[in-house]
Amino acid sequence: MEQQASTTMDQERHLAALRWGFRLFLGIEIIPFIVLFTLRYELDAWYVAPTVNQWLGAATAAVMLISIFWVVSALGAIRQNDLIKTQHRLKSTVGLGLAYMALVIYEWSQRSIPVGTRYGENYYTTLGVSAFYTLAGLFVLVAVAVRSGRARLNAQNYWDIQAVTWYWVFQGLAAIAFYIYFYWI
Amino acid sequence: MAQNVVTTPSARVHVMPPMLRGFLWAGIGFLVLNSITAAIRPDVGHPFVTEVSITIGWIGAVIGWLLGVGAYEGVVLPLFGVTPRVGEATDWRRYWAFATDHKVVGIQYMTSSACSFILAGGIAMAMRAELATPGMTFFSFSDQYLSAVGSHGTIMMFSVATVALVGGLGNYMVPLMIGARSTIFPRLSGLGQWLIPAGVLTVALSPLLGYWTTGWRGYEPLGSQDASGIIFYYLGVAALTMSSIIVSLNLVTTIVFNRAPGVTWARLPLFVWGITTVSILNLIWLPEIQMTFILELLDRLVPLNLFNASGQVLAQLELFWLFGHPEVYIVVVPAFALWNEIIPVMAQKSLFARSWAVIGLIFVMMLSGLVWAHHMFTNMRNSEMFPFSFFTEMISIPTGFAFMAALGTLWKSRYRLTTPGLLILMSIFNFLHGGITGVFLADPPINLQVHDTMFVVAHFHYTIIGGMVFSWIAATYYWLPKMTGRMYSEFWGKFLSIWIFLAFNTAFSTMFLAGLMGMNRWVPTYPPYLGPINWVITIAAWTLGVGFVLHGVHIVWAWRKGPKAPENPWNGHTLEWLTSSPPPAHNFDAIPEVIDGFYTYGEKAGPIVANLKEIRPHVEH
Amino acid sequence: MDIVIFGAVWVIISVLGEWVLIKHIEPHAMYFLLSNQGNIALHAFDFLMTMLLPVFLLVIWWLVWTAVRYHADSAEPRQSRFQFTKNGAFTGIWILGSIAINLLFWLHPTAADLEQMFSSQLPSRQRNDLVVDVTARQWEWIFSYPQYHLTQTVNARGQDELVIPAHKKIEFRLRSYDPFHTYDVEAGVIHSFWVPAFGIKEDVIPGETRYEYIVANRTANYHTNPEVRVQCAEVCGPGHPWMEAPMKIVTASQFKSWIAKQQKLEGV
Repeated sequence: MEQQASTTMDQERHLAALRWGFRLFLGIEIIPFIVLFTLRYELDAWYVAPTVNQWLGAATAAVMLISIFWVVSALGAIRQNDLIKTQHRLKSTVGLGLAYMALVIYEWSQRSIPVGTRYGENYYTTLGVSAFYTLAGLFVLVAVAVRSGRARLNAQNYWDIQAVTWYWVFQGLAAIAFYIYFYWI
Repeated sequence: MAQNVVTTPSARVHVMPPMLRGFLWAGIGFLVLNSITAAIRPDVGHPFVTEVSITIGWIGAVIGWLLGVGAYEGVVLPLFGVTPRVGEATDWRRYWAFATDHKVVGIQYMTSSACSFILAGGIAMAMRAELATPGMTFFSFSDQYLSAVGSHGTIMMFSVATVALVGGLGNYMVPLMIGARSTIFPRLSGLGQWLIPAGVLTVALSPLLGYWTTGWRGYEPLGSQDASGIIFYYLGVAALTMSSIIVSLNLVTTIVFNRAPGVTWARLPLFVWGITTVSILNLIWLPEIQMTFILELLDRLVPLNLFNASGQVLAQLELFWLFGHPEVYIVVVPAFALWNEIIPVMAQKSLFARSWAVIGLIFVMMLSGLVWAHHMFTNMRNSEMFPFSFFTEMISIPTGFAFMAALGTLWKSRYRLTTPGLLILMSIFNFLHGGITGVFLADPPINLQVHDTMFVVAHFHYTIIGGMVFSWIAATYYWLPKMTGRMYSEFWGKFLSIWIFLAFNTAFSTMFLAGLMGMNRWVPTYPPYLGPINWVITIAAWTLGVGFVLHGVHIVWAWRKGPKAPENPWNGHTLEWLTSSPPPAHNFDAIPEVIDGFYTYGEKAGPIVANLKEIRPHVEH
Repeated sequence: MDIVIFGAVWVIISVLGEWVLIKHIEPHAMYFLLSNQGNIALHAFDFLMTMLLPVFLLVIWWLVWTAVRYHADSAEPRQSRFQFTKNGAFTGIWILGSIAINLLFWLHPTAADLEQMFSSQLPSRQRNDLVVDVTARQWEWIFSYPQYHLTQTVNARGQDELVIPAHKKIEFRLRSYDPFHTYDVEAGVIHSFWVPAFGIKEDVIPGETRYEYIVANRTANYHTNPEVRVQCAEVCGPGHPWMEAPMKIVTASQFKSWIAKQQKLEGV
C-alpha cells in the first residue's frame, strides 16, 4: 500500500516536471517573436501599409481565436472523462487550423501587401514563422488525435491532451499577436 | 508526451546499423524534398539543385538522419501510440544509435565533441600552415582560407565549446551528482545528440557549395553576397544550437525536479550550479540567434533587404552579439564551476567561500546579457560606449569570485598534483591571461586599436582553450575512473599536460604581440615584417595540436587498456562516487538520502548520505 | 609564517615587475604610434598594465606557491591539515578591492579618455585643415581631396595612396559603396578603416557616413615603419587581405608639391 502511494507521488512529480519543462519550452519560444517584432520596429517603426486587407486579417485572427477556445474545450472534455468528445474537439481544431492556413495562403496569393517594401518584408517573414508554428501545431494535433485512440487517456491521465492544448494556445496567441502587431499598430 | 507507452528494451536491434540507415534515410529525405521543391518552383528551366531546394532538402536530410539512427522507433512510433518491435541495444551498439540512457547520451556528446575538436583543430593547423610565411602557400585562394577560418570557428563554438561540458559531461554527470536515475526528457535528449554529427558535417561540407568568407559571425551584407556555402553555415548552426537547447531544457528540468532528497539548492554541487546557469543562458540566447540566422538565410534566399544598405546593417551585428557575448560565458561558466568542483577534492579541503563561488556564477550569467556591444566599439559614440564599457568592466568582479574561492581553497592545503589537479591550476593560469587582457579590451580607446587584430584572437583563445578546453581535459581525467572503471597513466597525463601548457602559452602569448604590432585578423597574407613572429606561433600551434591528439590517444588507451581503477580514487564526496564504476543503467540501487554538504572535509566531515549501504549496486556491470 | 613569506615575495616580484614594465616595456607597448588618439590609447594601456601587474602576479605566484609548497607527497587521499571555509578579511579585501579597481578603471582611463576623444568631434572644434573623403569598395581604398578637386590619388605605380601633412587637423569622411560597380553602386559591405600607427579604427558601414579626426605628430611612411598603412580590419570578402594602401605623412611643403603633382595628373 505504501509502495503504491510512493509510486503515485513519483508519477505526480514526474508529470509536474514534464509540465514545467514544457512551459519552459513554450516560454523560450516567445524569444524568436521578440526578435521579429524588434526588427520590424527597428526597420519600420509603427508603419502599416494602407493596402492591407483588414477584413481578411480580422477573419484569420478570429478563426484562430475560435480554435483556441475549441482546443481548450477538448482539454475540459477529457477532464470530464469524455474521450469521444475530446477526440471530436481535437479533430475540429485541426479543421479550424486548416481553415486558418487556407485563409493565410489566400491572403498571401492576393499580394495585397507589396513584397519589396520594409513593411512587406517584415510582414511576410513574421507571417512565415508564425505559420510554421501553426503547421507544427497541426502535426502534433493530428499525432495526439491518432494517439488518443490507443493510449487509454482518461480524467487521470491526460498529459498528452494538455501538452497539445498548451502548444496550440501558444501558437494561436502568437498568430493573434502577429495580427495585432502588423494590422493595428 | 510519450510516457504512457512503454518501450521494452530488448536484445532485438536493427538489422541495418543505425548510422548507416541514418545516412541512407538522409539521402532519401534530401532527394524527396529537393525534388518536390524543384517541381513546384514556378520558373521553368532552373537547375535541379538550387539554393532554395538545398535548404529544404537539407531539412529532409536531417529528419531522415534522425529517424534513421533510431528516432523512428524511439520517438515517432511511441508518439502515435504504436509500440515498436525493436528496442535499444544494451551492448556496445547502443553508443552508435539513438539512446535514452543519460550516460550513453553523455558519452555520445563527448565523442561528437572530441571528434569535432580534432576536425576543427586540424583546420586550425592548416590555417597556421598558411600563416607560417607572409605569402600564399598552403591555400591557393584567400576565400579557401577564409572558409577554413569560418568552419574552424563555427565547429569549435557550436559543437565543442558549447557542447563538451554541457551536453557531454553535463548529461553524464548531472543526474549522478544530484542522485537521479534518469533525466526528465530522455527521448528528446537522445534525439538532440544526433543533431551534432548532422550539424558538424553540414558546416564541414559547406565549401562544397562554394567558399564563404564571413568567419563564424556571418556579418551582413557580406553573408548575402558570399558563395552558396554560407547556407550550410546557417543550417549547420541551426542544427547545433537546437541540440544545445534540448540539452539545456532537459538538464535544467532535471535539476529542478529530480534532485534526491536532501540535495537542496544550498547543497547543490558546484558543477551542477554551473550547468544550471549555463542552461539558462542557452535557453535565452540560442532561440534568439536561431531566429537571427533564419532571417539572414531568408535575407539571402528571397532575397530581402533587411541587413544591407537599404535596411539596417547594424541590426544584424546587434542581433548577433546580443547572443555572441553570452555565448562566451556559456563556454567558460561550466569551467569556473569545474575548478571549484575539482580543487576541494584534490586538496581534500573544504571549499572556501562556497556561496560566493555560486553568486559569482549567477552574476556572470546575469551581467553577460549587458556587455555584448563591446564587440562593436568601432561602431559607437560616446553615449553608447560609456554604459557598455561599464558593464564589461564590472563583469570581472563576479568572475573574480571563482578565482577567490579557488585560491582560498588552495591556501594551506595539501594539494595533490595529479593530472586533473595540475590541469586545473593551468586552466586558472590561462584564464587569468584571458581575463586580464579582457580588462584592456573593455577600455574603448585601447579597444579601438586592438579590435579585429590578433590581440583579440589571442585573448579569446586564452579564455576558451586556456579556460574551457584545459578544464574539459582535467574533468575528463578526473571522471575517467568513474565513466570507464579504468585509470590513466599518471606519467603520460602529466607529461602531456605540461606539453600542451607550454605549447599553448608560447603560441598565444606571442599572438598578443603580433596584434600589437599591427597584424589584423582574417588574412592569409600579411606584410613581411610580421613573418618571424608568425613562424614562432605556427611552430608552437602545431606542437599544441600534436599534444591534444596525444591526450586523445592516451585517454582512449586508458579507456580500453588502462589498469582497473579504485572505486573512489580521489575520495570525492559527491554522489557519483557512491555507485559502481561505470554506473549501471539505473545509477543507484536506492535513491541517496543526503544529510550533509559535499564540500566539507576534515574533522567536521560526517557521513554525507543516510543510506550508504543500499546505494551501491550489488550486481557489477 | 606562510603569509609573511608569500606576501614578501609578492611585493618583491611586483616591485621588480613594475620596474621592468615602466622602464622597458611601457614606452613601446604599442610599438609605433604617431597620433594624439594613439597616445590616449597608449597611456590607458600603460596605466592598466601598471595597475594590473600586482593582481596578475598575485594569482600567478599563488598558483606557483601552491604547486611548490602545498603539493601533497602522494596521490593518496589525506585530509588537508587546515580546514576553513571563511576568512572575512580576505573575502572582504578581494570583493571590495575588485569593485574599487573596476570603478577606478571605468572612471580612469575609460571615462576620462572618452571625454577627451569625443571632444575632438564637437561641432565647435570642426575647423579642420584638410578633408579626405575615404571610399571603401570591394576591394580598394579610394582617397579623394575635395578641397583640391582630386577624385582619386595614386602613386607612381598607380596604387591608391594616402598622403597627409603632419601637425594638421585631418578630417576623414568614411563611406562604403562601390562607385565603379556596373549597375549597383550601393552594393557594399562592412569595412574598417584602420591605420595601425594612428591607434584607432572605425567601421565603415554601407548607408552611413562616418568621421574620424586625427593629428599626426611627425612624418613617417610605410617604408620607415610598416604600421603606417591604411588597412581594412573587418573581413569583407576574398579580397580583404589585400585591401590595404600605402601611406605617407609629410611636411606641409612636401604636401603642397604632392598636391600639385596629383592635380597635374588628374588635369584639374
